[in-house]
Amino acid sequence: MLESVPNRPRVLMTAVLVVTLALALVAVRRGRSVAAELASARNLRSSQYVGSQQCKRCHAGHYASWQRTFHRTMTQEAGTRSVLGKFDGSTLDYMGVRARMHRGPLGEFLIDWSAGGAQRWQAQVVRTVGSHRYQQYLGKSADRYFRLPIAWDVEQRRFIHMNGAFLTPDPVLPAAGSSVERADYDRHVTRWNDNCVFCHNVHPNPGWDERRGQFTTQVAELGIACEACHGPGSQHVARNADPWRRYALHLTHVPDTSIRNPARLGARRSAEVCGRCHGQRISADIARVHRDGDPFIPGEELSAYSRPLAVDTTQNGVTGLFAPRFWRDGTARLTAYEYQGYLQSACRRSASFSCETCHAMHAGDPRAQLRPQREGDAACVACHSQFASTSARAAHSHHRADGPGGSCIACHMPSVVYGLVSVHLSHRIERPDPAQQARQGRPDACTLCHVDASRPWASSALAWWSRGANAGDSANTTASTPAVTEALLGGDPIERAVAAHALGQASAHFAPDYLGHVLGLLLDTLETDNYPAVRAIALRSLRAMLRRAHSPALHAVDCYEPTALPEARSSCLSQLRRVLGASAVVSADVDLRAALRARADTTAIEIGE
Amino acid sequence: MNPEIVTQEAAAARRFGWSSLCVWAATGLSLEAAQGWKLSSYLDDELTRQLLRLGHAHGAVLSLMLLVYSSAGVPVLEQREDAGASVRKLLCAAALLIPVGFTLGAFGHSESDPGVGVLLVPVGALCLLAGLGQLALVSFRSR
Repeated sequence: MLESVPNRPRVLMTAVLVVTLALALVAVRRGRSVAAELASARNLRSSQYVGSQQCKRCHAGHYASWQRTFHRTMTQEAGTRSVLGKFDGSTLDYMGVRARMHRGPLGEFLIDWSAGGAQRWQAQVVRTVGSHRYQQYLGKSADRYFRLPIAWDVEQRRFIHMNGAFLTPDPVLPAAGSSVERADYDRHVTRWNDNCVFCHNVHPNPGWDERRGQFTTQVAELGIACEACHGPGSQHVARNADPWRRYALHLTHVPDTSIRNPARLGARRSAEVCGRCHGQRISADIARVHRDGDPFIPGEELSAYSRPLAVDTTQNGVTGLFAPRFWRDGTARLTAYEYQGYLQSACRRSASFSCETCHAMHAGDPRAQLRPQREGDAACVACHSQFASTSARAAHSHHRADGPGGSCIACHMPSVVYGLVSVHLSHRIERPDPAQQARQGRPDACTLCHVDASRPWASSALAWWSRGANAGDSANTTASTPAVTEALLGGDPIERAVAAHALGQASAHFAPDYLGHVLGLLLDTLETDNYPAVRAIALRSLRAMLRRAHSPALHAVDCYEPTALPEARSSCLSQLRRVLGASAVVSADVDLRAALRARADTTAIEIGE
Repeated sequence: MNPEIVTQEAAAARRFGWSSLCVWAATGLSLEAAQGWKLSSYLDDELTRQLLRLGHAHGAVLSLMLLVYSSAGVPVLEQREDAGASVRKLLCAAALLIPVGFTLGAFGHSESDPGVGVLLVPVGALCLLAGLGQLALVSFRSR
C-alpha cells in the first residue's frame, strides 16, 4: 500500500519556470557586462603565451588546418617524426670531407665528419629547421644552437652541403688528397640564438646577457604557431572560459579584443603580421631585441619597432650594406622580402589589398598557401574583373590567354627572386617595362620567357603594341645578344641564377634551332660557374629540358653534383656531351663569352642573417 | 485514486515513449546513412556529428525512460491527486527538449560551441531533474 503524498504539481512547474527565468535574467545581465568588456580596447602586453594546444581545445578546425602547414614544422625538436633526412649511415662528400649521418646508441641523430679516413668532429642534431624544400639541422654547444653545414633536400631526397644552398662562391679548393679548410666547410654554420630564432618561432627572445656573454634563449613555441599571428592568448583563454562571453561573440560578431585576428585588422596591419617575417627588417634597437626579444605583437604598428630593409637602408651610418639584396630599382631579389614587394605594389592603392587577398593561412595547398579559388590568374581577376574573360586577357596581354604568356603573373610578377636554391615570383606587382628595367639592370618579364630575345627587342615590342602592330612584325630584333645569355654569362650571381632558372621553364619560348644554344649555355654554366647554387639551378633546368624532350641523355646528368670538385664535374659533363652528341650543343661565341665572363660579378649575396 | 486515471497516465507515458523512440531511432538510421554514404557535411564537422549523436542518444534513452516510467513510475504516484500527470509532463518535456536541443545545437554552431538551440538542453535537464527528484522522493515515502 502506498502512502498518500502531497500533490504539488503547480509548485513544481512554477519552480522550473522560475529557474528558467532566472537563467535568462543572468544571461541578459552577463551579456551586458560582456558587451561592455568587449567594447573596451585591450592591451595584449599583459597576456602570456599559452601554446597551440590551448587553442586546439576550442579551435579544432583551425588547429587542424594549421597542422598541415610548413609554418608548424618550421622549427622542431629532433625526433623520428620530425627528422626527414635518412640518418641510416648515409654519407655526403664535400671537398675532401666526408659527412656520415647515422643514429647513436640512444637513437640520437648524429653527424660525423672525417677527412683522410680519420674522424675529425661530430655533432648531435637536436632541432630541425624547415620541412618544405630543405630541412636544416641544429646542433647545440652550451647555451648556443648552431646551424650545421649539412641539410636534407626534401625534393631530391638527399643530403646537401649548405655551401651549395647560398649564393656564395666555391671555397678555396683543397690540394689533391687533402680537404677543404674547416672555416670554409663551416662557412654557413650560423648561431641560431640571435639569427634564425626570430622568424621561425613564436615570441622569440635571444636572452643575450652581454655582461656574462651568455644566451638564455627562449621561445613561446617552436615553429610558427597560432600566437605568432594572433598574439599571446592567455587573456583570450581565460575570458572565453565564460560561455556567456562566447555566445555574445558568436551572436553579435563583435571582434574579440582579447586576441588578434589578422583578417579583422585591416589590410595594412594584417600585412604587417606577415611582414614581420616575410620582410627582412632592421630593428630600431638591436641590442634591446637581442636582450629582451622581438617586442612586436600582431595588431601593433610594425614600424614602431623596426623598418623594412630597402636598397638604400643605412646601418650605423653606412649606406649600401643591403643593396646587393635588391635590384637597382628597389625590387627585392631575395626571398623573405615579400612584404617590401607588397609595399611597392600598385595593387596596394586598394584599401583592401593585403597578403590575405591571395593567401590563406588556414586553407589551400600548404606549398604556397594560396587562397582557394585564387590560384593563378583568379587572384588577379578577383579585383581586375575587366580581365575575367579569356578574350579580354588575350587582348590585354597580346598573348594567347591559355598559354604561359597570357598569364597575369608571368608579366606582372616575374620570377626574379632567389631563395632556397630556386627562383621565385616577385611580390612587387608591377607593369612590365623592359626599357626601364634594362636601365636598372634587372631582368624583365619579356626576355625571361623569350629566352632567345634581346632587351631591345623586348623594349620595342611594347612600343609596337601601343601602335597596334604585332611584335612579330619586327625584323632583326633578335640580332642583339639575348638578355638571358648576357645575364647567365656576365651577370652577378642572382642574375645568373634567374637566367639559369628561366632557361628550364616550360614557359621558355625560343626558336627550334635555338635549343642547341640553350643546352650550350646550361652546360657552360655547369662547367664554369663558380657558384654552386647557380650550378644547381642550371642542373635543374637542364634536367627539366631533357625530361620534356624525353631525351636519353637524362640519366647521364645523374653523375653531376653541383658541389663536387671541378674534375669530377668536368668528367661527368664530358660524358654528358658525348651522350648528347656534338651537334646537339652550340657553344656561345668565344669572344662574346669571354667578354661577358670578364664582367661577371663575383659578389657573395648574403641572405640576411 | 481512480484506476482509470492511473491507466490513462500510464498509457499517455507509453504513447509518448514509443512515439519518441520511433522518431529517435529513425534519426539514428539517418545518421548511419550519413556515415555510410560518407556525407561530408556530417563527417567533416566533428561538433555537428557529436551534437547529432548526442541528440539521437539522449532521445532514445529518454524515450526508454518514459516507457519504464509508464510501468514502474506511474504506480508509485497513483496516490497523488493528479496520478503523477505533472511528473509525466516534466519527463516528456525533458525527453523532448534535451534531444531537440542537442540536435538544433548542431546547426549554426561556431567552431567551439553549439548553436543557440542547445539552450533548450539545460531547460530540459531541469525538467528531468525535477521529475526524477519527485519520483525519488515519493519512492522513499512509499512502503
